[in-house]
Amino acid sequence: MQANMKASESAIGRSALLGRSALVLLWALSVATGFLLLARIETTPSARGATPASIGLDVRSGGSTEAMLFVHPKCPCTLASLHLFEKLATHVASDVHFTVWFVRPKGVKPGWERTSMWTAATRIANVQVKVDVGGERSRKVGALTSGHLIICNSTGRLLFSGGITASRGMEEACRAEELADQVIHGKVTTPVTTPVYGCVLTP
Amino acid sequence: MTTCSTEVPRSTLRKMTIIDRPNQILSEKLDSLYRSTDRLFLGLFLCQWVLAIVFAIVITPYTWLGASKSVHYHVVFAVVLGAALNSVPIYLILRHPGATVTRHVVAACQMLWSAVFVHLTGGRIETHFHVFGSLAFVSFYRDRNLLITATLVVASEHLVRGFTWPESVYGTKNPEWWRFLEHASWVVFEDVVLFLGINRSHHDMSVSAKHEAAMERVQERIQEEVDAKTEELRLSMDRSSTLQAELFQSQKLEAVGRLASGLAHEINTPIQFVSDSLYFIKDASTDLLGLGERMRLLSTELDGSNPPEPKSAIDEALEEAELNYLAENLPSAVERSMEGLNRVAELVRSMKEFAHPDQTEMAAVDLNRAIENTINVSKNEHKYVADVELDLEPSLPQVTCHGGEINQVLINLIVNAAHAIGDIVKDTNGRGVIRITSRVDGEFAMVQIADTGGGIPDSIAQQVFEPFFTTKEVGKGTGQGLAIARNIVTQKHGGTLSFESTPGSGTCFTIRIPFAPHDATEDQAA
Repeated sequence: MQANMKASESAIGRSALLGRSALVLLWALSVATGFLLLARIETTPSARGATPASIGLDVRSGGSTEAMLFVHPKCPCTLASLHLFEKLATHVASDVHFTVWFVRPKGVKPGWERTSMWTAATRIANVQVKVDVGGERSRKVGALTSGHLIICNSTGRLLFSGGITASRGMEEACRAEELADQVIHGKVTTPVTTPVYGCVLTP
Repeated sequence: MTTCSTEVPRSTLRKMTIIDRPNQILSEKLDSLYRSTDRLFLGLFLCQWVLAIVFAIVITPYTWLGASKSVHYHVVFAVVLGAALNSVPIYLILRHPGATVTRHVVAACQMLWSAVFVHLTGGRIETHFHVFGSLAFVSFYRDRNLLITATLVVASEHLVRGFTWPESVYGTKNPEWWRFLEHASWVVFEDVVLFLGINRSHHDMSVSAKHEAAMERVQERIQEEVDAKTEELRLSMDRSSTLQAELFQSQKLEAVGRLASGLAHEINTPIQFVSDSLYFIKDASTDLLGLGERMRLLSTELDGSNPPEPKSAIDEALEEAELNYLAENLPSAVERSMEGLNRVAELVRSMKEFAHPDQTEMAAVDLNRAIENTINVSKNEHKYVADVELDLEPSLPQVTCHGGEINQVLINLIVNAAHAIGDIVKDTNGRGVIRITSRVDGEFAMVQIADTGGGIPDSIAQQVFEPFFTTKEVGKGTGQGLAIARNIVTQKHGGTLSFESTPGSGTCFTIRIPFAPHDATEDQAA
């Protein structure tokens, strides 16, 4: 009688353990899937247009090497790009012209672009902050995503086109930022293209 | 009924208990610790979930498409992934608190929360400190194995991310081969520190459990001793109660015995004059019967042929019968006889009531009547040396008490008073006074027995209630009277017995007995 009861209890215990193990396994799988999905979204580059090999004077100022960062004023991920852009601007010779273009989509009132990111950009030394009304300039250089950096030399030849973050909002130093730095310092002469992560500048 | 043949001897069981108890206590403490830490993590998980949502809403609220916006995927992931992450750990905490699987899942979950925050904050290096904080939190369980689980989760997440997306971990696509070790070494460093801390904590808990087990054993032994002593005390009290009851009885018998000769004398006196009167009545009845016979003969002769002179014959018969003498003395003889018989009957009644066997339960007693009975039965002790003055409160309510025992108290005090007066007047023709008063004194019935004896010297005033203490000559007292009287009044009835004495003038004993029944068990419990 007792042996039967013990066997029954043992069977119940095994069953409960099995149930719990299955539950934990299911949980681990669903959580892992969630993380993988998150990573996939964060590492999937956003859309980009075709960047011409030579940047015209209708976009650039001319006279020196130029680094132009096109940003969406309200894209939260772009703040990481702005910080990395600041690092580039800080560690470079003064003959490079740095500009942050705040894209103001059509149909919004002037001043819409004056966000906290705007304020942050204006505080960076050696960086000019300008408004790209309706995204005219950004479209011309194929910058469709916030955080797209265009670097060209004094003649307008394209040296760099793409993002400088490893993923969406990833602020840590990455290969793209390293390449941009090398381009600015003249260490890389062939045009460099990198993926861009961020919000769509204009529809 | 069958007996289990494999029954473990009691001593072996006890030994096993002693050996296993520290481990048992340690297990209980750890289980309690696991459960409380489970609850801590329950709160922490919920807080982290809320914090993750707040982070997402504050840092990355929207995704923009030109001027139009939609909810950022970080917000969606904070809500959905956070809920999924918390679901099973919280379920296990609620359904299986303290279980091993719960702890391991909790540890894994906490480390994954670090990954969530790293993602939500854009991989900021500062957020990676959450990993170290989480490891410290996991160590609250004092379970070394959890450090392995937590570290494996961190390492796995790091490795997977390092291989598939190295820039998010190392900031470069081609990190040096040892970069993983650099990251891991800091986690291992904290693991070692926490491992040592947990070991030390385990040691302390183990020592504490041993001390606690030792304390329990000591307490158990003390309890056993207390139980044994209590049992001994109970038996002793039982014996004491029996002895006390026997002592009361013997003292009562002593009092009755002492009174017996006096009572015999008290009864004998009226019996004597009843007897004398009856002899007189017997002679008188003979004379009266003779007179009657003479009258019948005279009547016969008067009917005959030679009748005597009627008047002279009647006068002669009356003179012979001494009718005048009989008429004068016969009623008083009958009256004396009746009085004597009444006195005997009263004495017998008093004695009967006095010697009334004690009842287990208390009963309503008329204290004034008890005093009168006691005076009657002890008359021979005091009537030669003292006059008894009674000042009894007529409206004294009945007292619920043990009547027989209260009688014993009264007789002890009255006889003591008589003896005290006797000692003073024995060589004189003087007499003393025993004054007995009854009164209502609040919730008590108060009886005072005052004598005009020699009083109690101050030097022995503290000893008079001690058992076997007596100043009387051998054979006149056992020294138990006052001790028993006080025991009866104070212990059995919750009253008081005190005295005031002026050496050379006399002593007054005061008894106070509560009208309401006194529960003796309360005293015993107290």
